[in-house]
Amino acid sequence: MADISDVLDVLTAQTSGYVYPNGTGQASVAGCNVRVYPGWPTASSLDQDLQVGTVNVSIFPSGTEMNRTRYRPKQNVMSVVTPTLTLTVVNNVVTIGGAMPSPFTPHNLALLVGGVAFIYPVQSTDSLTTIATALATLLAASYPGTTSTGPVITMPSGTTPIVARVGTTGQVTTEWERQAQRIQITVWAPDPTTRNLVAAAIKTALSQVTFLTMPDGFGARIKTAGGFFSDALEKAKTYRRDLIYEVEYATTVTEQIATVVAVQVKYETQNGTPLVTKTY
Amino acid sequence: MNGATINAKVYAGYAKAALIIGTTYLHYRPSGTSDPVSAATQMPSMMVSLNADDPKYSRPNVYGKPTWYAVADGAQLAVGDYIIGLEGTLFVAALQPLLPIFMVSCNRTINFLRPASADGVGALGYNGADDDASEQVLMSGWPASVQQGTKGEKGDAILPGDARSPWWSVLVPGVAGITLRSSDIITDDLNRRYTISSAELTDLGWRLTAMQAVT
Repeated sequence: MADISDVLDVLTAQTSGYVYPNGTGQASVAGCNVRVYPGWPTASSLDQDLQVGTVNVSIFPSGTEMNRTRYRPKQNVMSVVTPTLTLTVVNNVVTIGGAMPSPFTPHNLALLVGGVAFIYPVQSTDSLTTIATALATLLAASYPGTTSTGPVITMPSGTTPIVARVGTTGQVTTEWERQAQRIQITVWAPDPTTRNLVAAAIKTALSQVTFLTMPDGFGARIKTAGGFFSDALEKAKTYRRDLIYEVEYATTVTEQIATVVAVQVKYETQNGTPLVTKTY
Repeated sequence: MNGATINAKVYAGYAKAALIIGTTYLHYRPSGTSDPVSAATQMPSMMVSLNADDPKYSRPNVYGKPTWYAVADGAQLAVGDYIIGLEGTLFVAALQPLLPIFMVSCNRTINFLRPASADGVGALGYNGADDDASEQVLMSGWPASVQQGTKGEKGDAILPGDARSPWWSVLVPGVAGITLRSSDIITDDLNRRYTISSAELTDLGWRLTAMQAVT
């Protein structure tokens, strides 16, 4: 799920990239050390840093969160595990192919015969042969004479059409809420020049960003919401600039679910009397 | 005859008086930054008589006055030493030539901590966290005088039942190599937590002003 802490972390990583465009092994845009972090500075640490010319950039939420929920919850498929097992059908012969997943990931092998689904959930201890044996056993209950030899299942001749499907699992993410939060990016610098260089680099770079990519794969809309410039701390040789952004992000829940290998549909009359059940 | 000789005679006189009017005190000479009162820092016990406020034995100790005068063999004492006996725990604040031995009574045992400073450049982890694990221990287990200050301030949480956060005045011996500063943290044996507001290193040790950190 994306939370406000994720927003802060993403902005920290982005901001660090703007002030160290060539990596932290090279000089920053201001030529001095710059620390970028979520959270407020601790007073003693900030004082110590500014004395030696190290700029701090703190990133923290500002003000209250605003509700921006506007969509019904909808599941979004974020990723699907690629199957390593295959099912091949030639007439009445089904062959289990591919390889057992390593490391193990769930696979469901489905055969649709005569409008009925025969589904075998692969176990981590299975081999291609034991999968074929298990599927053949399922089929033999409805289709006597079904046998298996190694990874090959042979059904009674004329048993067609046979539809074969291999299912795995995937990540599905649902957006339940959406909110907007102002984020305050504060540059704490030991002199006005350094402040200007660091703040301008962040401001310029973020002005070109429309969406941040959050860890849950969703985008978070970012737009400028003002800022201020302060010399109020000049007695302590501290020069501050605050850049304020509004970030609209989703609160999501990610689940791992199995992909669909067969769908059963029940047809009824308008008064609820069952007519027929079909599997697709 | 010179000042040093006269001072030695004064201390010898104190020692004789302490044998008659004093009581036995355990004696500790701190070494390092932690556990100044322990078996490792113990010295031979000594006779000590203490009197409050002035050296004339004419006034009792009163609220808010942690200072005492000692009648004891000053030659056996050093500034920063602790003694523990009838009047509790005290440390030697000053051994000024030809003047009474100046002691400070300790009512709390405190630790000095410093919030961890950020390390590295570029993107760093969360900085607002000041947790036990990240705090640097400057001094630990030091008996000290922690006296109530004169005013308080409203806590940051502004809860309906909030009382004002009290200020405290702290006296503790100076330790070589440790410089206390504003924003350092004090914790005590009552699990109270304070933030140092001002730190003054005097010839009598550290004189600190601290605000109790409460919600």
